[in-house]
Amino acid sequence: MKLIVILLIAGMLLVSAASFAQRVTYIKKNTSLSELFDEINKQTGYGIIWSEKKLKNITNFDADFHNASLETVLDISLKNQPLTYTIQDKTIVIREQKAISIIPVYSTSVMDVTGSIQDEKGKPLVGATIKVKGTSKGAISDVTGSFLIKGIDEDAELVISFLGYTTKHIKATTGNMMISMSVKQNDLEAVVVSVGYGSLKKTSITGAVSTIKAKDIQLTPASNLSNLLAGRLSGAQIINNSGFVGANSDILVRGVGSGTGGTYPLVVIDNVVASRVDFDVLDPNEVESIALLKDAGTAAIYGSRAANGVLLVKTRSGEINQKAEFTFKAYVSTDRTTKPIPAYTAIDELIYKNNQYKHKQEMAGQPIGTLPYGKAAFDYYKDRSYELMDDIWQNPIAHQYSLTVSGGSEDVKYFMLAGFNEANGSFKNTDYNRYNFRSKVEANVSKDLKIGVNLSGYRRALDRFYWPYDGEESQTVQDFYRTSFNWSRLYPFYTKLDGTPTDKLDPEGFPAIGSGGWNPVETIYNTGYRKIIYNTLNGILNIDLKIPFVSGLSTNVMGNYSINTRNSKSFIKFNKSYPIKFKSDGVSTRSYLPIGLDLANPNIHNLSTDLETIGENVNFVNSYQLNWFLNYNRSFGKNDISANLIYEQSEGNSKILTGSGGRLLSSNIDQIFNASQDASDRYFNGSEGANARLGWIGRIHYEYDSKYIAEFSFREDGSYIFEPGKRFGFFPSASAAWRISKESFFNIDFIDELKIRGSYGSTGNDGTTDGSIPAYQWKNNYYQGASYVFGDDYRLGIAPGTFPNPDITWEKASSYDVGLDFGLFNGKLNGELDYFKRRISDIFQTKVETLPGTFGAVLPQVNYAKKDVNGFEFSLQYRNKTREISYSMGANIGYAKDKWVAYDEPAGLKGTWRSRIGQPTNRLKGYISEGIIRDQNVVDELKAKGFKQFGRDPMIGALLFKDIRGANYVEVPDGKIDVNDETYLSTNQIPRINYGINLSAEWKAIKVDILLQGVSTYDKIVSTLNTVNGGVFQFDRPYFGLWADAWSTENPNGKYPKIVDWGFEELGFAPSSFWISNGAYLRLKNVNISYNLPSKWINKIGIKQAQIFFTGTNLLTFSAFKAYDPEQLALDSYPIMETFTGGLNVVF
Amino acid sequence: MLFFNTLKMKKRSCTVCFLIFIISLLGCNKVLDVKNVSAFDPAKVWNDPELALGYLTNLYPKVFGGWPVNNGSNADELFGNLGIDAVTTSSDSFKMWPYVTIRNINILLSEIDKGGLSTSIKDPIKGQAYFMRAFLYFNTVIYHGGVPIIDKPQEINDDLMVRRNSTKECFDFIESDLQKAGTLLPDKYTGGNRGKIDKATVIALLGRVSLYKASPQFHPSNPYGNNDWTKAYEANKQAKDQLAALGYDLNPDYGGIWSKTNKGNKEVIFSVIYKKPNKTNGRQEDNCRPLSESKNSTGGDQPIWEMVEAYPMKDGFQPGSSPTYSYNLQTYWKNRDPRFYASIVYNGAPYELSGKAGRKQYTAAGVAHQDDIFGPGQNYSRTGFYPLKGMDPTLSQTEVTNNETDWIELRYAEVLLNFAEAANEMGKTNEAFDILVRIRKRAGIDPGANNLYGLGTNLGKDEMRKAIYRERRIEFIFEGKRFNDLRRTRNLNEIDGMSKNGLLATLKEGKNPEDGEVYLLKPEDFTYTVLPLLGNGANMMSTPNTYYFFPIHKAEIDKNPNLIQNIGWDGGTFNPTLE
Repeated sequence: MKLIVILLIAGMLLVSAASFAQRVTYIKKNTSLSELFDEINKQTGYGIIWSEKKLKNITNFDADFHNASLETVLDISLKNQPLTYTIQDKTIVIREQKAISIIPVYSTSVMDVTGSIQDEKGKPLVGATIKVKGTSKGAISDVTGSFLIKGIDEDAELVISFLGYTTKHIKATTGNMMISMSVKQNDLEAVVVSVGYGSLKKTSITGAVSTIKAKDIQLTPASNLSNLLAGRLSGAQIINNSGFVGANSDILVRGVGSGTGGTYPLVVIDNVVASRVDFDVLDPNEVESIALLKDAGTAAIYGSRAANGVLLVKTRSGEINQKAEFTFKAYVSTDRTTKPIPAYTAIDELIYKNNQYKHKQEMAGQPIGTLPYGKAAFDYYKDRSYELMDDIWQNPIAHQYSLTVSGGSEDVKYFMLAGFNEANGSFKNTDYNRYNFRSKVEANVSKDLKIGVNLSGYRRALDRFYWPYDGEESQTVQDFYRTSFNWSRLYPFYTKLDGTPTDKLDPEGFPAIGSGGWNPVETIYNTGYRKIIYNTLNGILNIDLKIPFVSGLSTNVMGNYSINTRNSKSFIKFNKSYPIKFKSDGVSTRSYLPIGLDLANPNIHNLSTDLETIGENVNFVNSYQLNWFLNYNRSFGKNDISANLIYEQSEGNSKILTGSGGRLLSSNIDQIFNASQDASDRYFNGSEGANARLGWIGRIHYEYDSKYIAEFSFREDGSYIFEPGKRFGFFPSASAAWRISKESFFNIDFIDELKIRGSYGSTGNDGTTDGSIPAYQWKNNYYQGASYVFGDDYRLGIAPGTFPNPDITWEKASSYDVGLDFGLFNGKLNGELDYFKRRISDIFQTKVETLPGTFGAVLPQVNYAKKDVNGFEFSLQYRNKTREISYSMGANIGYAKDKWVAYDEPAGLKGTWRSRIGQPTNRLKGYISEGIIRDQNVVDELKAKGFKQFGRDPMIGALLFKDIRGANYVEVPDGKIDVNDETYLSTNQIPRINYGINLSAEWKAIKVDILLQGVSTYDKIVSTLNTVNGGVFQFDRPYFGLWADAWSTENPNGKYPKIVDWGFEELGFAPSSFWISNGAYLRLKNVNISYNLPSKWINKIGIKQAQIFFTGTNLLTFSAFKAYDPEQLALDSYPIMETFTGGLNVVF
Repeated sequence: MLFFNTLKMKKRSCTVCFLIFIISLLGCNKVLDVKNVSAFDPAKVWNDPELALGYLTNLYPKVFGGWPVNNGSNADELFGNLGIDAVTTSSDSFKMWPYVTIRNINILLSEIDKGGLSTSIKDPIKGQAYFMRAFLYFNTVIYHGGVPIIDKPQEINDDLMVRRNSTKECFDFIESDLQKAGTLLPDKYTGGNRGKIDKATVIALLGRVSLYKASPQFHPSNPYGNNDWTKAYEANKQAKDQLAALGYDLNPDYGGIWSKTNKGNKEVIFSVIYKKPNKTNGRQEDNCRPLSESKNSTGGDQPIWEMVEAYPMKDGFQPGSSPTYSYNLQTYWKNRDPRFYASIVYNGAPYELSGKAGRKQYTAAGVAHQDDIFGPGQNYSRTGFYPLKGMDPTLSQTEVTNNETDWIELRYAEVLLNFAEAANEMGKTNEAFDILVRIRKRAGIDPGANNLYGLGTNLGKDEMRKAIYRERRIEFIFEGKRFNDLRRTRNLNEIDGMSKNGLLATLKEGKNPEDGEVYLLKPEDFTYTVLPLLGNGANMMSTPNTYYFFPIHKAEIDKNPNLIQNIGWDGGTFNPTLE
């Protein structure tokens, strides 16, 4: 904190120290104008265009300028000369003064040329260089793209160049020349890629980095940035398990990341380590680029937190000498499920229940007797089916608006954004909104000093009906979905007093329950809410100083301070409804005919709270990060060296306060003053936390002739988590590249770029990003324990913490990466190929398997296990254009698979099928299914042999599992199926191959982008949230939709086992190969069509560019996995959505 | 020029600022010394009486749980079955390995003397800790037989591959810990200290331990004549008498033992106290009530028909053999042992839940609330009966988890019945008889003309033993004793192969089901049928003789090959008995 104050003071001092003008100091007697101009160029960096010829006759003079402004210097030195000057965009053009112009003696006639330079879309290009070939004359295009060059030969040729555009040669003509520039298809030399603590030209990269440019994602809607990355970043697997509003995606870099804990890469935004939420809430319009550092060669510079890779985000900046440009973007989108929610009718449910009853009686050897539902029931429900989703489900709608302005003057550039995003969820009464802003200003205080301020913040609010069984932060409400999508169709949710079904709007209606302990419609509308509001303010101050005396040396300081608050408020009202009274139809044993409502005995579900309550939970988190950089950048002949030395320090602290007040006076007031003042109805709790880390970082990058490139970096990283003396770790990396295409012997015409590169590096994981490794495990700690009542006193207990492990240290990953980059056919075809091998060692593991339980301590994590991950990535991009159409196609594919090298398991396990060694983490385990037994003879034969499944006789309509082992996993079948017969069914529980294909074409004003995304080498098992390892249960909210096709005597070819009850393994409850199918899918992830309105329409109203766009997301999916969307977590988890978006993008 | 100079000065001063700033940065090497703001300093714990007591407090809930809800599923008490292979060496069921808590107790016992607390503070803390250790070992030994005795916190470099101590060594260790506890503790804690282990608790547990030690479980070849019965008799006699001297006695009213207004009554020797708002629902009332008056779940502690049938008639004779009260299925609820009405809710019985005056509980289809019905094609895990003992009917549906009934771990009735059993085995049948009469008298059973309370005259030792076992089954319903009693007495054959039944109630022809809404229907308005219970899992009990001692978990043996498995499990050779 103290440091922050110093930083701010230092910053302010520096700001007040100088004006924003360029200053020149030059004292020399008898100097020439050209010497002066050289000096100006050196000191200010401004280019000066003049004709040597014209200066020939200028006499020398004495210069004496002390920190004078550029204008003063020029005014004084040119005062007595026949010259004048203009300054445009860091370029000074010296011209002859008309009044005293000397008519030049030229052999050919001369002329003045004016013109304007535009890009392909007719937008002015600012700062393009126009040179007259063979002369030193030239100009720079101004903010309107215009230029003027006076007095050139009539047959002169103009050479117009601009970074990223194909250089154009054109004959000068009189009149206003309209010169249109086209973008270079792929100018590798010009592509700059973010790397840790800096950026490099793409051609200089020696490691594996995937990048996304903001413009590729700007037109695609998503409430979270992570959802946009799928199929766009090679080497990253984006797992989207839910289509719920505000839900984010998981990111997995190069297969399974760290050994324990999370897999999410470290997020760094504008050089500041940030959280995953910070990343998710970024507005695509404030992002300039996203880079994913995949190999340790590039990631090692982030040291002990970089084992899962690093996601680097650079936010947008303004540009020097750019007129203010406003962009306004708005879109509206709507979602619906990619697959319909499983449908069934009341009749399906009756059949299910009758079958269940029948099969249960059969199994117990009891007479079947009367079925629960007879013909009268079937007749009654023929045209009745109470669909819960009709009342509570909707197709969500989202809006997003953002306004940006960017621009700059000579010394100041700025970028500002204000954004707003609002969405509602598929369940009614679920809303999400986000406001965010960024304000970034960078100023050249003097020629040596630059200051930048980058302020950003957001407010995010999640508001939904109160449902305590999904975590506060759950972005899927999957428990609620699980309970509601298969709700019984037999009973109305609202009835009149006489039992007549009605809806919730009917003033004579009452909330009713026919089954279950609560009314789900009331939950949505009338049982309170939970609102979570996040506020974040983040400020970054940057001070860059060129060190005057040593050429190429500069230093800068960056300070960041961020404040995060989170407030979650719960307003909990009981779910109250009235039991429906039923009468019997005279035949069925279950009554279902409503005859009234039991108003005297309301059913009250208290949502696991004893009292109607208002709860508040507040978190305050603040942190700072401070960096000091010393940079050196110099070229000596063909040698380019850049080096950095960086110090980084950060601290953070957090406070959580929770409280509640219960026993509300009125159920309709959501304020604490409405809660009882009885102390026992009130609750309070809280805690604090603190963390700190510091590190020294160094890097040397060396290039010879842009041909041979080598880089070395290290980080000496310290973390508060570990014991003093064991806090620091050293994470080095080394990498090199050879650009073969630069060699003189290399003369294959169609290859523009060919580079081989290799890297080695080491990174760590101290578990702080996901909290998997608690701090202070190295020492003995006593924590608050369980409380207990003595007498009337509820007394606090103290418990010892985990057994200390003084040797605890971070997990380490060392990785090797070899890669090949190429560019062919004039930059039309570019590609990258990487092979990598990663060894993760010192993986934290609690050694329970080998330490006897009699030791009795909750053991600390120790650095024990080891894992290898191997894989490759390949990406290819082709761009071309014909006269009217420009198009591109690209593809990327990544493969990764891990295997355990060391794992804490009992000695007896080694070498057996149960051992993890040599196997990947994500495997499917279960029984081998031989299908449903449909033939009574088979049952009889098995029975005759005494064959048992889980202690039960084989049953017709049940699955038959393969007997492969006997007791204690002896590899001899024993004629019975039990846990010993489980085995591993697949090593591909997660997709091993992830790929994306993008296609883009532009014709006149229309542009179409298509993104296909897919996974392969993936086995998916049908599972539910209650049977996460696979299998589907039958009772307690059965999946009527699925079980509608279950085996029964009436449906002997049914696809699924017969219906009996919950918990029977052979009826589908256990994971088995029966439920597995190929989970590979290819999905039309994105289609984006945009159209630029003709400029003649819009220019009149002052609009430079206007674009309308339509985007569709998740439009089509091809997969052999049919039970539900292959990206969906489980049968009963929240579905994946397809999204349709229309929007408008205006630049003015 | 002055202007330029000023600027230059400023610039120089800024560069200086900048350099100072950078240097100050580099000087910050204390950054990583972050104080742990979420922990107690262990050094302070053993020097501060309140913190040391805090350490002990944390152990209590680890050692003593709440009501053993559904424990009777393992026996002939409640719904639910132990199916074939319910216990295996690799399953988690019936494994007791409480070494985490034992370690924490050992830490207390070895650390407390290193601190500066006075003896008067330390002694009771240590005494309670010794008791807890004995209690845990005892529960472990009656599951598995002898286990490794760990009496100090092991260091990671100690020889951790410990061996099992013999069952005898374990009993000796348990007794020695209890003796130590007895010398360190005051006789009786009351008032603000109620709920703490005192000497009375120690004495009562010593009785229980000695009874188990003498019981057939540990003496398969000499179940009734072994020498341990002498000690069991002595210990329990001592317990009975010493506790009586301390004021312990039977509570006059059986149902009132668990009343929330009668906490700490004279029958309660040691209990886990439940108190609003922080520690509630040890009884799991939400799980045990009928769903129509509860929330989330139901089906806990559902008595089966066989349990209901086991209750004597009001005169203490078994149903069908009473000279006074006739018995048949259609009037099964009439004239039964008053403990039946205090423990079990049956169809048509008054059950004024949620304070609903006059409310009756129904279980018949067409009359009962849809959620409470027992019958074919209806809800599962119902038996037609609900538990009453320990429930608090005054709680509203929404506050059903606010049940404050204490869990009584040791009550005087157990001490008496333990004594009766030991006395009978010592041939002192009359002493046993007196105890049964005391128990039955308190229960409200008619004394009968000859004041025999239905027990018959001149009972032999074997008949008396059976009478005591029967008495325990009734007296301790829902208290989790039945299954262990069957194991202790080697009577698992009584439940092996058993199929459990419920009782189906059907409204008689001509009765109006709507009368049920105003609670006008009586039990006699229904006809009753015994109906097999069909659960999710096994439908038949399987309790082979190997269940007298459960196996050590295979995972523990995998980790420590020095642990020998019990005889009868995976070819083990360890003899868990005392023979």
